[in-house]
Amino acid sequence: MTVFSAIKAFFINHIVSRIHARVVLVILSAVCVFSILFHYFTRDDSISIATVLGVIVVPFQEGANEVGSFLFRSDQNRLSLKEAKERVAELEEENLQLRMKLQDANDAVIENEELRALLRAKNRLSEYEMQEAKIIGSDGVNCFNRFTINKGTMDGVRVDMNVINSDGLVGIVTSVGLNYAVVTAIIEDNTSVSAMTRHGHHNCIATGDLSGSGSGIMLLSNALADFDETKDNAIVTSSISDKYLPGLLLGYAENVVLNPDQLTKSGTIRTAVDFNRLQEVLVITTMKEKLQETEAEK
Amino acid sequence: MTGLKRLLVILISGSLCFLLQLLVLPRVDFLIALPNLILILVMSTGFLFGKAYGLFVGFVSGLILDVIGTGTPGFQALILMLLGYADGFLSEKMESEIIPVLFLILLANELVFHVYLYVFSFLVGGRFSLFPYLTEVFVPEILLTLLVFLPIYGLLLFVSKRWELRINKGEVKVV
Repeated sequence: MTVFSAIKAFFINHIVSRIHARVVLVILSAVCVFSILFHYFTRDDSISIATVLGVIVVPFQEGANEVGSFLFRSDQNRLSLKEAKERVAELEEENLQLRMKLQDANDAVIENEELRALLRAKNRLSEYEMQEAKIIGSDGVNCFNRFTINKGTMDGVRVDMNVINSDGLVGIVTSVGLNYAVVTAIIEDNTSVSAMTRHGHHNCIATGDLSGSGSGIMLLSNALADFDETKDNAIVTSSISDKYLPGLLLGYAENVVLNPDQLTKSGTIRTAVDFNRLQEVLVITTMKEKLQETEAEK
Repeated sequence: MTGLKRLLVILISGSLCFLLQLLVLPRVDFLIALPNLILILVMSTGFLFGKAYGLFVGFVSGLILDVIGTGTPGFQALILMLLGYADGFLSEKMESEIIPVLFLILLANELVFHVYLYVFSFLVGGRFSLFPYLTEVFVPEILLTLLVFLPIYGLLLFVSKRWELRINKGEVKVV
């Protein structure tokens, strides 16, 4: 006991009392500046302090996220019994119809596969490898549309992989740790996606915009003058994009008007994904570069 | 013993603030923006416990924000640490605390934080346009932050008075 108190006294008298806050401030500032510069110049996310800390923080985040979900369940969990019964009846009827449709669809699938074999149509969504992931945290800052998912390099997630959900394109992985990855949404201010219309293959550019990001609005620009939103307003990622896989649904064009130059049109896009209610996403582990390589080999 | 108690207060209030900021408040639909609870936490600890504590809390909470958010370790840690230190420094110089002055200092904190965020995000490549940044991010956040400042600061003040943890023995005045 006396040894312990002697050590404690030594520690307090000789170490703690001599550390000045100012010195700590200067040292830590230098460490921060060094870390920022290092990160800026190398852009290396694989081994960093963030990865090390992520291993500690992410399990807590996952647990806390469960608590948060429990406290703030989405609306569908608060249906009354009557509503639920009605819903069941509706769904049963729908189920019947769907079963009949499924029969037709199965025939169509066989036909489709034959045709695809003929056409050698590639780049279909069903051919991509995917990895399910849960969103475990937002960045807590108002001006960034980034969030953390619970899959990292251990699950095969890499930077620049596309992230989708059942509605359409969500964003792209921008940094990755061992057991987590940060996804930047397509509505992030000033990030652009080269896009096209689904059927007409009119090229255009979709840009995230701070003023519309809360309500899921992106800006559409560089569409040619013959672009017609009434005929074909589904906007998908273009095949000329270097990071995004082709054919992923971005959203639907609205309010498209001719620019003063009379050559191009611009407007807005209502995103297919509801960014306020994201819970689970799919990371496409097939990457654009790899896709091009395998195509080149063939 | 005072140090341990202070750390305990910081640990509890810190985890509550982070829980609210990152998990609860983003799920509340009617909020148009998030109040910056972390900044309030950093400023409060700086004010109540002095510059060393402000520095420590600013650094740690900034680092946590960096890890789960913007991805550059040290980016927010640096500014929050400097702000915490500056607040502690100010608090040691002040004879008494007057609530409107506290609000002004919080406003200055927010301003510095956002100018830093804006300028460096601008330089590092994410080009924000200034006007939407003001209307969508800065103004709503400042209003909400000012609104929730008093309850949080008041609670911390109450606890630290009760346990005699304050560094500044001056009185708190309403006007």
